[in-house]
Amino acid sequence: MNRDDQHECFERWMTDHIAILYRVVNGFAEGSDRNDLMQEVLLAVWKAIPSFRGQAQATTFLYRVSHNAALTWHRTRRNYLKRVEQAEPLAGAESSLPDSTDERLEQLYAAIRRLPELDRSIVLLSLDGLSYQEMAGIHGLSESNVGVRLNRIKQRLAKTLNQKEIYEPR
Amino acid sequence: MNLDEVQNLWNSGINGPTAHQRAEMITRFTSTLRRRRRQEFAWLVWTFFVLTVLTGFAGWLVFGTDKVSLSAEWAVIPLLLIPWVFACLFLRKFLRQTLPAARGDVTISDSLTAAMAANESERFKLKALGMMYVIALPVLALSIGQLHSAGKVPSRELISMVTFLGGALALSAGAVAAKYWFSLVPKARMLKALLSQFREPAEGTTSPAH
Repeated sequence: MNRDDQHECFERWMTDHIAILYRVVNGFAEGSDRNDLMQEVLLAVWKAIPSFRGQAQATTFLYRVSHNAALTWHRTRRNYLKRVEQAEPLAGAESSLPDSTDERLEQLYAAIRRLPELDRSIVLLSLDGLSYQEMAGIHGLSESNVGVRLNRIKQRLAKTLNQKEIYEPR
Repeated sequence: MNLDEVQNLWNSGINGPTAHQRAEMITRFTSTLRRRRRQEFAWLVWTFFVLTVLTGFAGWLVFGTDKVSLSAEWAVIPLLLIPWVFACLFLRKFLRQTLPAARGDVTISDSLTAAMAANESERFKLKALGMMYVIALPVLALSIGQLHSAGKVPSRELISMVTFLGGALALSAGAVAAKYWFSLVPKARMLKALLSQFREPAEGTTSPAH
């Protein structure tokens, strides 16, 4: 694959699927770190394009690359984030939810970011509507493992968001 | 928030970049990429230019004058070749597509496992290099001492030789140690912690797919 083809593929994928990367980045970083992580993820996708042989769907490829990049990026800031989490507990978790859906969305992302990295990755895929089989194929886990983890994750998220109802797995 | 609200919120139009944000992200990234590429290219061109000038000057000294006697000072040839070897390695890296760190053709678990293996391999190589430095230091000291005893190195040059060679050795050993302790070891720790999350069994299941 020459560089022009790589550019063309990159721009096509970004036009069609950048929302995937956007949600991954929000799930793993906050504030100005999002810009850094977005650049890292875009670079990872760019570098990975020549290895795309069309054996998997483009979205599967993108999920693997973006989640891999986010998982490995996030860990280097672990100590900083630990300090942030200890100093600033999840705001509004026990108070009534604000009216703005933007704030509610940010609360949801904040709750997701409090999960361990692998759980975070799994729940992001689940919310994007992927099946257990797809999630297992992306991570290299068994479907049953994904199912059990997801139930645990949802209970934990529900607790964090102070919700009573737990949604059924697909 | 209940199930429907969470999923509706997730699927809503606000949970994604606007068309303007999308265009801006792509434009910023591609222009950063092109700028980096141009900088690398300019750096390579400059490096080869300087090397060519220096090599040309050295060649003139060796072959065009009688200031350097090749029969006695033949080491000038391999010493001149070393920077060219490094320059060619950088050129090869510039031209080649290197294997990406985050791969999309294998599962995340396999990709992290491969990254861990690569990290272990690199740490092993640096340990071996570190051992060579440990061995080289007394050998160098002995060689310089022998040269001095044999009258090949006068006392006035001894100190500058020790300072220069010892300093160069210490500096490069420091760079190797820094890469090992501040780059590879933290990354190994991170990868190990991530992989342990994949390997820890969820209740009532086996964890990896293979």
